[in-house]
Amino acid sequence: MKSYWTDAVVLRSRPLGEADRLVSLLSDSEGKIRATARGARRGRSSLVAGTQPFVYARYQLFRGRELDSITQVQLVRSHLAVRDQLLSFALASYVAEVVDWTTMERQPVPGVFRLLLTLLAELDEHPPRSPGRALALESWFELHHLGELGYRPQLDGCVLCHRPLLPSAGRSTDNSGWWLQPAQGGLVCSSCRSQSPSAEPGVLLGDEVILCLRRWQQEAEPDPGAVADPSQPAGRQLAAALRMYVDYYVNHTIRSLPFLAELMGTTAAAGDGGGPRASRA
Amino acid sequence: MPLYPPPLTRLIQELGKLPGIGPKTAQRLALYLVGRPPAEVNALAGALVDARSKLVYCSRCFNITDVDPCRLCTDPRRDDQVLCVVEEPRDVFALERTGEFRGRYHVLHGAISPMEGLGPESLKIKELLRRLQPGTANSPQIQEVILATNSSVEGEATAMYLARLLKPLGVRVTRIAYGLPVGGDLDYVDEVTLSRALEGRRSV
Ligand SMILES: [Zn+2]
Ligand SMILES: [Zn+2]
Repeated sequence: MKSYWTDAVVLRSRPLGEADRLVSLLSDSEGKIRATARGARRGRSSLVAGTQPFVYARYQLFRGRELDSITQVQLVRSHLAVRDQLLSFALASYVAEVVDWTTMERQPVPGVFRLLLTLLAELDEHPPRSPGRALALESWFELHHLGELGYRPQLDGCVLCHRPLLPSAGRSTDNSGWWLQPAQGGLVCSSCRSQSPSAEPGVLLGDEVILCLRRWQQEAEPDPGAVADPSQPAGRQLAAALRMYVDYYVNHTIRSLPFLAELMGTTAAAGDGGGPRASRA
Repeated sequence: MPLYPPPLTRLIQELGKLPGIGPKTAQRLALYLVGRPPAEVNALAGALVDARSKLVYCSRCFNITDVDPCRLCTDPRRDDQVLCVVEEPRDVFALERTGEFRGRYHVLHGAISPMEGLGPESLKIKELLRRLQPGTANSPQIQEVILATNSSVEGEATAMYLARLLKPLGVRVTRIAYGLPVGGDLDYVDEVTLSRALEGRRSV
C-alpha cells in the first residue's frame, strides 16, 4: 500500500525549493516521518496551513523511496494560540526540536506523541503568564519525556550507594545535598560524588526541586494544568538540571534553546558543560 | 558516472549550487548553455558579473540597490513617517507592485526561526532600532511601523518580537491583515486562514 493516512504533529517545517516544504512529522502509529509537501508555500491548498509547525492533523501520505510526500491534510487542531505568544512559540519550538532529535523514523513512540499533544494543548488553552510558568512547563515536559524514552531519572536515593532520601524532604541523611548526574541515571549523594571524580559535574538540587521532580514523576496521568510554579530559584535549578539531562541524551546542539533562554531570562549554557558530550564522543 | 570534460564538470558544479537546481537540472542547463552561440553566453556571464559587482544592500533599508542609499530611501515623494518592515528584498518588490504603499521600507533578511538557529541577532533588527531613534539625521520622525512579515509561524513570531521591542519607543506598530484570497470561495479556504480572517474583521 503506497498511500496511507495517519494522525501526526508537525515537529519542524522547512522551505524546500521554490514552493515546497520539507516536514518532520511525529505520527502516533508511525513514529517520525520525513515528508515533502508540494506547493505548501504557494496557493490555497490545505497543505499551506497543514504544514506549519505544531499543527495536529490527519495526513494522507504517499510512500517514497527516501521521503514520503503529503497529499492531503485534514486539520484536527492547529494550536493557533501557540503562535500568538512569544513564550509559547519559543517553548514549543524547543520541545519540538528535542522530540525531533530524540525520536527515530518509523519507530512509534505513542507516549511521546501523547505528551507532546498534551503540552501543545496546554500552551494553546493557557499561554504561560510568565517566564517562570514557561520554565516550569519546560521542566515538566523534559522529565516526562525522559521517562517516555526510557531514561527516567532515579530520584529515590543515591543510585551508587542506595542511601535513601529522607521521607518528606530532599535532604540526604548528612544534609550535604544531592546531585543529578545523567551518566549515573539519577541522583548521586555528595559523598559518592566526591569519591568518584567524574568528568560530569552534575547539578546540585535543593529540597524544593527534588520534591517537585518526585511529585511530577508520581503523576498518574501527566497533567500540565496541575503543575504548580516553583519559586524562582527552584525554577532555574530545575531548568538547569533537566536541560543538562536532556542535552546528555540529545547529544546535539539544541538550536532553539538560546531564543527560549533569552525570553525566559535564563542562560542557554545549562547543558553546554562539554563533559558529557566529550565523554560520549 | 559519466566523465565530462573538466570545464563542463566545473559548469555543472557551479549551476548545481543554485537554489532548486539538482544534479540532473544542472547537467541539462550546462549542456544547453555550451550549445548556445558564444555571444549569448557572454551576455549571460556579463549580466551575472555586472549584477553582482554593482548591486549592494542599501545601508539604510537593506534592500538590494545599485545606489546607496537606494532610490526608495531617497525618493522625496515618499512618506518618511511610515516604515514597512519585510523579511526579504523580494517582499519589497511585491509591495511596490501593488502601488499602494508610499512609505519607506526596512528589510530584515529573514525571520526568527529558533529551530534553524536563527535568532533575533541574525536579522537587521539593531539597524531597525537605530532608524527609530529620534533625532537621527537620516530618518525624520517615523510615526508608524507596519509589520509585513510572512504569515508563517516564523513570520508571526518575528512580528510579535518586533512589536514588543518597538511599542515602548512610542511609535505606532501595526500588522498587515490576514485576508481571504480575493475572488475565492469561502468554503475552499483552510480553517486557519478563515479563523485569522474572522479575527481581523472590520466594520463596513
Ligand atoms: Zn551515594
Ligand atoms: Zn534603501
